[in-house]
Amino acid sequence: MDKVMEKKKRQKSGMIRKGAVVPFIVFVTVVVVFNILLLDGLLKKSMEFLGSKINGAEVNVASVETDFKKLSLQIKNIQVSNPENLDFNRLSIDSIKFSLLWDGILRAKFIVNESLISGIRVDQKRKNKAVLLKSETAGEEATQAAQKSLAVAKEEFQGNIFGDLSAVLSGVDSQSQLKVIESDLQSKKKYNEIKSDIDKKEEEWKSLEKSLPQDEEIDSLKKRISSINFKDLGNIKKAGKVLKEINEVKKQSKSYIDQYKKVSQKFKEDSEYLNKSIKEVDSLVEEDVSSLEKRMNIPSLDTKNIAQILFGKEFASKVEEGLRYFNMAKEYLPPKKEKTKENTVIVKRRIGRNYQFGRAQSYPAFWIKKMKIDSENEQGKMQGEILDLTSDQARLNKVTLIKIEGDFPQKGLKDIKINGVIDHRSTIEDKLSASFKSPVENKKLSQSDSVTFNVRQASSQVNLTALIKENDIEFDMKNVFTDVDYEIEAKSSTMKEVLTSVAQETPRITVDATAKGPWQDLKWKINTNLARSISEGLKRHVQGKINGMKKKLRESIYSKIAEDKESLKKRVTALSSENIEKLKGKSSKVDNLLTDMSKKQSEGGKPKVDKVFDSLKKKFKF
Amino acid sequence: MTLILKQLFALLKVLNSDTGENQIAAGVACGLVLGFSPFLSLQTLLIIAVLFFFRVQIGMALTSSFFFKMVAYLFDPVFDKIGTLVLELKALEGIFTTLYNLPIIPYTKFYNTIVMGAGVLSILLFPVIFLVSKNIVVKYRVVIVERFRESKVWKVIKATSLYKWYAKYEQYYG
Repeated sequence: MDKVMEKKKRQKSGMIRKGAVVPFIVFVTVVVVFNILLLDGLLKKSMEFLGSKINGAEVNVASVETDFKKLSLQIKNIQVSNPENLDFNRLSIDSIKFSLLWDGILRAKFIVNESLISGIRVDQKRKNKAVLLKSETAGEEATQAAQKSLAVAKEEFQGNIFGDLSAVLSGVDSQSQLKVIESDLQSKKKYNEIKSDIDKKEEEWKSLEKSLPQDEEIDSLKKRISSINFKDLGNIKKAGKVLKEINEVKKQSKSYIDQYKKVSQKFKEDSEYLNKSIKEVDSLVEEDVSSLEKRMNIPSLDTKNIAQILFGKEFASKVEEGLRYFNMAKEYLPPKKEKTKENTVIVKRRIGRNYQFGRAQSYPAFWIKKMKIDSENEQGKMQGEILDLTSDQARLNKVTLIKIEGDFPQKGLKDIKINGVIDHRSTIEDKLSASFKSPVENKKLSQSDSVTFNVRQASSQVNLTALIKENDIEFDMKNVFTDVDYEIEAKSSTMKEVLTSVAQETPRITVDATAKGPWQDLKWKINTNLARSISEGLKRHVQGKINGMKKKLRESIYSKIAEDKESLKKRVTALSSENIEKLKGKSSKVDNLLTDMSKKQSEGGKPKVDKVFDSLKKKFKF
Repeated sequence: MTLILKQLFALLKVLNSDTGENQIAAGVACGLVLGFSPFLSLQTLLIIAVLFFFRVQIGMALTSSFFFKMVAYLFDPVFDKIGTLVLELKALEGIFTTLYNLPIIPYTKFYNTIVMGAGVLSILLFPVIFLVSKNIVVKYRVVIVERFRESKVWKVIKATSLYKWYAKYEQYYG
């Protein structure tokens, strides 16, 4: 009965679930209310997350206010912390306002006609220390290679020239250093290898020699020759047998001589090889010398090297930062890609690739037409604009233009000028330049236990330019420090004297640094008048000591291996001459036997044989 | 784990109930589309609306969407290849351009290779999955459920007071 009722009930209810209208409306209302109430919070969190990722250190946003009717958004109090000094903000912005276009948002495109940025402050102390984010090395293979190459460059530029020089001046004990690394000496290792090679060869030679005919066999050969009756050669009946025996003995003797010659030749070749190996060790000695120089931090007084140590690391860090921003620009403002089959793109899981089917002049996925900067506060002022920031320059045929000018007298930051053209319409062709004047305080040039050589105070004028064309860059930094007040401390009086005179000679420091080439293989050029002054000053005082130190080092290594070299040479000569002479003796012994036999053969048998032949000729009337 | 077990029990309950096979099969097929679509997209909202307004077994749709989501993860590279193939078809470029510039439609994310590939496959597989799952449900009910009901074990269980109590509970509150 129940079943029948249920069946009827089921037949009555059609495809449409009328009762679900109310729950659906409730569901939609809940979703909409949830979004309206929590959207601002979600946006704030997303902005902080993304901003921190881009900045490499914490970014805070005080609030985000959205207006659904106007599709407008206001972001208040953005604090971008300084990754190098987490107690300070690199930049803080009071407000960013913009409105999205309904026309765009309906098409899932973010289009902004004008946005306004106001209330910019720089270098402000934070209430709480910022959190530094772990740097991400993941990315394209090319990016990883570029990051690796920059890390290598930074490592190369690392050094403590003055500390190292102080050590040289105070006299580092090269013998004790040498003792520590004796087991690592390449030349020593090679000699040990040669020693074991000689041992092996000796064994090999012994077994080879054993395999050769010995004195007993030569004696038996001698006995065999003496048992031959050469007079029987005149006897026609016996001559054949005797001749056969003579031939066999000859054959055997020749084979003995051949064996001796062959082995003797091998001995010669082996000893030549061993002598060559011993000679090769000399080049390894030079390698040992340079590696020990590095280990003992014997500095080079080359201007290029000093300039790299003084300013290379800082410059490489700036280029590294440039690479980070360039990669971001490449990701968010991608250049137009050619659709070729060879151009395979690695597709991220769950993300895929987006195609764009826009008509000419249709909206790109993201486009801020004008970003106006208008800021004036107690710190200073900043004005400028960023035009056409878009994810698809190719479709709009517009490049992104940046023009910003500002002054922050309270912070001593003056004449800030930033100009840029980001052109990703077909290929990447970016031009960026920035210049500003700023005060310098406690700039570390070289700091060690024995020497402090820093800039206590100075004024600097910085000019940076970057030209990027596809994967090639030309990054140029011109830095001028004026009114330089140096901080000099040194344990060694010579060093203090040198640095004081350098400081007096160089009240104005100029640094001209260039990094050029593909990201993965940048060619670095760093010139500075400070490096020249230091090099010249040091050369006058310490070059002699450095040269003396290097000479001493070379002599120490040579003395360590001289004994080995001589003993190995002697051993090879003795071994080869002894063995070759031995074989020579045996070979000449057999050779003598052969000569002796031939002599006996010609003396004893030949006339009789001739007679036999003559009688035979007569018989057959020849 | 609790969630998975809950889903499994719900699935068994639906299969053993008197719910129509068409509703269950439609639920499985809708689950396929849900599982293959991005979580936040227009097509997901459409399917949710369909689940609400039409007599489709919601539990079955959610269970199968959970299953097809995992399948979709494994088949990402295949979806990407199919999507690329479709999106690069010259003949469809005009349609895609129109759709891309229409309001609302871009929220389907049809221009993404994985979404397009998964979308094409789910449209093609929808009737197949519907028919196959319908057949399976029918066969399951005839072969397994009916045989089980005729078995002595079931009859013994049915005779227990505990089952009778459960049956009463189901009648009033189930």
